[in-house]
Amino acid sequence: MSSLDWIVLLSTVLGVVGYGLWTAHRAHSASDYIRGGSDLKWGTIGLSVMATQASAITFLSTPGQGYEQGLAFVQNYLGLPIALIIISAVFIPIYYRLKIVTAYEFLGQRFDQKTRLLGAGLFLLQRGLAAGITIYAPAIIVSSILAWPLGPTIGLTGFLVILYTVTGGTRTVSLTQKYQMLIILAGMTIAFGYVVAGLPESVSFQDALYLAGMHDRLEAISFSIDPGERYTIWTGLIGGTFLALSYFGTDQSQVQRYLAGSSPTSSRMGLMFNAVLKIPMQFAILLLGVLLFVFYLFQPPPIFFNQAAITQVSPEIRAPIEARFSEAFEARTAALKAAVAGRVEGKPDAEVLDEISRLGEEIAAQRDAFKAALLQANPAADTQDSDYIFLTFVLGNLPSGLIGLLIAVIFFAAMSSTASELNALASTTMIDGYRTLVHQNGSERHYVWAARFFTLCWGLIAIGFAMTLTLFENLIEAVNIIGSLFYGAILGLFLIAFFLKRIQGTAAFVGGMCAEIIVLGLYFSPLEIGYLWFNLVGCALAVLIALIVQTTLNLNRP
Amino acid sequence: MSKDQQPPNPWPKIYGAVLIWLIILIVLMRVFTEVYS
Repeated sequence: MSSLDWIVLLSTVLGVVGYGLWTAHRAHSASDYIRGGSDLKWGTIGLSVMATQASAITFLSTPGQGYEQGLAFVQNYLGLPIALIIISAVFIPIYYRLKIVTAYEFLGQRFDQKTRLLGAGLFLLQRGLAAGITIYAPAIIVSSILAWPLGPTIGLTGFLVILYTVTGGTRTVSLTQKYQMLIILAGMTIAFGYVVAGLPESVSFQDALYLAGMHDRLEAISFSIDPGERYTIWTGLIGGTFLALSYFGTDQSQVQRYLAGSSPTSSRMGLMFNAVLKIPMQFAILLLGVLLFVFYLFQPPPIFFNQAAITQVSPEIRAPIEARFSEAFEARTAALKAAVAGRVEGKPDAEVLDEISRLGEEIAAQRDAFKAALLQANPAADTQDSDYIFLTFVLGNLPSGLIGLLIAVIFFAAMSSTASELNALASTTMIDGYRTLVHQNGSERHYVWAARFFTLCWGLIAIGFAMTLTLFENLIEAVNIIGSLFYGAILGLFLIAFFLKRIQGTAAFVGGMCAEIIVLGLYFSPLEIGYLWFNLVGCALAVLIALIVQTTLNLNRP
Repeated sequence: MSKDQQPPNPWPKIYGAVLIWLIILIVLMRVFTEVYS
């Protein structure tokens, strides 16, 4: 990175942190600190909800996903607008009417204290573990590519987030997220422009889409009913609705964002903003990855995108693999140019297409050979490099200054998600734990300071956890697994609360508790169950067991 | 204000518009898939 990049990176990051500290008004009550004074407009809420969901790994992994597998991943988001409509129509009016500060307070008002504590406890466990990974995941990638020391990168990111989240609470988190998200969107748009501009002169945007389609990268919507296919319109509309309902409706890190609105209307508008824009945004980021794939059809890519891993393989072993890789790459580039020219004239030659396919297999074979050599040199090495593709492009192809901006984008994405998580963890600890169980009659000032203290504690726990993480290989999966183990039972409790009026506290508590124990039992059992199913299993078990327990209790009642 | 004078609830129409937007996006993405795959 040049000194101009450093100036841009530091000025944008410190500028937003400084803005956060400047806007941190004195919160007079715990409700002010946690609900942000309840005066935020819908635009701020919309961007804040968007920034909370989009962590740094979204902007690193999604282009990689587009590069390797095409647009199919966009189907995962098809259920999101449906879930946001349900939350807007059913959840928000009730949350506002009951004037709740945390989602779990609603469980307390609808059922009893023990069910509230169960919901809050499950959330704290799940989100507390995930917060460490939110900081760690981008830090390991950025530090690997830029050769920065990992510990200080994690420590500094965590420190800056703690600084403004502790000082300003929810209002500051939402206001900083607004600017972070705007800079993220601007940065990604610039990167998109540079990928398109980086295509060879003889390859138009249409040609690029033609080449991407030729390599099966443009299948956005699949109506396949093959259960082995991971992303289809059906998994998106059914599974996606279910997941988004758990995440936006019951996860305090999101509930806290839209409850900071000045009225139910601003909260609903903020959610509808996401319902309308989220799918086009994810489509654009995936398309950026697809265009990166086309870009690297003409520009020689490294044999492995994680440069730090390349040096782990000795030059003697590496050189012949790289030579064969380059040879196949050069031949394929010539064939691709012939195919594009043939397309303009009518139909490309079938022989040329066969040659492209054969050379593509040869390139893939050389990459596999390198991965095998890497594993031989370091058995613990990660052979997945898709998370490194986007930053490799940025560092090699963007001008000085813009590289700093794009690194700032990654940090903003990490900071905005972490800020929401710490804010929500502290609120839940304070409102559902400390104020309910430990200290019930304190002054509002006391509770504001307690909330600040808990934010600091969760921040330090997240940094400590991030520093000790070594499970890099399955990091993104780990976040999803942790979520899936707990979301089912939590969503079950909320669905009972909203839709099954006859079920009371004890039955709901037993249902939620048993569902969680069974899900954890299944996870640690030798049975091989795809982790996404735990969401459905946990929720269904919670509802079913609660229904059985309530029926039994009613039968035994004199 | 009597019940008759209350402004109509705009939300069902907004939700309907969002659902229509979702259907349009799905159709457009499917057309994109058909054209380029």
